[in-house]
Amino acid sequence: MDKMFVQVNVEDKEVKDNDGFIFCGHSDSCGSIEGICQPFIH
Amino acid sequence: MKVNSTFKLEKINHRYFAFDGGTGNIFEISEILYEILLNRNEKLTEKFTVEEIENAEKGLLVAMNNGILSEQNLLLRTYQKIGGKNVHSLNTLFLNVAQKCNLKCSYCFGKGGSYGLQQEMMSIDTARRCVDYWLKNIEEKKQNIVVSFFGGEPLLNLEVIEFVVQYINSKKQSINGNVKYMITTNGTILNNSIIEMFIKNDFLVSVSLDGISKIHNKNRAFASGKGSMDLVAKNTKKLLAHISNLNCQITLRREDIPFLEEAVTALWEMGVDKVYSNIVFDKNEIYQEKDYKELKFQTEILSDLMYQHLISGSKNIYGNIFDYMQNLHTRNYAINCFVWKEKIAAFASNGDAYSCYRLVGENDFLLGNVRQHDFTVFSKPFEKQKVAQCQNCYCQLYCGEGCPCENLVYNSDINIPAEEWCEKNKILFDISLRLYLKIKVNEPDLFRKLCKYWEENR
Repeated sequence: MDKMFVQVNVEDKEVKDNDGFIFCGHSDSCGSIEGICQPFIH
Repeated sequence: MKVNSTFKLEKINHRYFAFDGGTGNIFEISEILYEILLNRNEKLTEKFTVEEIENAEKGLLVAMNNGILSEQNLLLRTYQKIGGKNVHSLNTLFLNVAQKCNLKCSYCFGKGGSYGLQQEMMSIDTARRCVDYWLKNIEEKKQNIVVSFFGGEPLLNLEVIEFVVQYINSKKQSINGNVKYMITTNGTILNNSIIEMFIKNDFLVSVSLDGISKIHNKNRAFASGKGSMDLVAKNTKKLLAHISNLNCQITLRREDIPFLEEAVTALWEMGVDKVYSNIVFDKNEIYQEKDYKELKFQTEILSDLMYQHLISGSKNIYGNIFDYMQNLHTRNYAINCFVWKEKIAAFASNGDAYSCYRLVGENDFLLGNVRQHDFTVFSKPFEKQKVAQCQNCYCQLYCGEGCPCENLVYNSDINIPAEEWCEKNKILFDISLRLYLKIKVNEPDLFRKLCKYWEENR
């Protein structure tokens, strides 16, 4: 099995709460800067 | 063979990969497993013996029993686990310090900066109350705490921004985490005091600049009708000479999507290292299949350019893809949507609080006013629901099952994902995953370097 699935990205055992760093995953729509949401239109 | 979780497969130069949509894990897999997962029986029997196929299927079953390709509903369970703390869980303060704007952008979601409310400036007294409330409710042990100024055009109310910065700085010793100041500006207002404040307080500045005159001036004009491109470009260059933390944000109407690559490249040439873009969300902005096709085409060009830039050591980055690759690598899921979690206090100029800055002016999402005696942002009834249509989508963990605000715009319901949201997210996900794996396969040294950077800056 090990040879069949070789981990490429980080292997976290537990989902973290990003410890205060906001990332909503919406970087192409709500204008995040470095993962932090920003209002984008003035 | 039936697999429980959703997944996406990639093949790069005869190497095979599987993205596990249930957990966000990315695996390199064998060719036989790739064919099994693709369910291409004719290819399987062509290339492999019956014994090899049986062994691979047995291996897959064992893997599934160990949590690989078998996870479901992680997003919802994660929200249930980490949401609803209800007290002292804030990490971000959004202050709409100026609910008015000196531009009349054609695509403004904030209705010219007023959000359909009264045009007004936040007073120092209101700002102080907002900051005091936020400080009292910051979750302990938070490492990064964000104060974001927005509007309208926030720099129309420089006095209050300066007050807030000075006020928070005076209380920094009582704050455990690092305070990061951020501002999104239209770039039309700039003077030495502003530059000094940005430098002194290490502001992260985002300038809304559409890159090229033909789209910027059409969409981002002053009330007189005059385009703002020349002034914003001039101010952006001036800022770049003084501060390193500057990004530009391009916003595109449907008809402007074919200019995405040209706009991003123009900003790189102007000296902006990191450029982001987005497409307008508005119920009158109806995207068609050809628009998504064009968006994909433009994003693929930018992906190719990024690949070359990363190899050559150029700092010119298309932030949408770069950040997405980082999130794929660090498995940073879309689990921090403000609406579902009590993480921010977003205040309108009069002290009204909302679950998200994008919901300012939406009465159904008004949480109260900071001047109220019993004011709290932790009483909202919004609860993440299972979104049936997302359960079979590999993108679920990274699109967060839609943006509640965009859902509201397109479907009048925060729980029903908008089609445009799905389409543009899948385009970005697919291209980012492919570039991530392309770098891994073709440029292993660069890949290691990027992974180290991403992990250290999670």
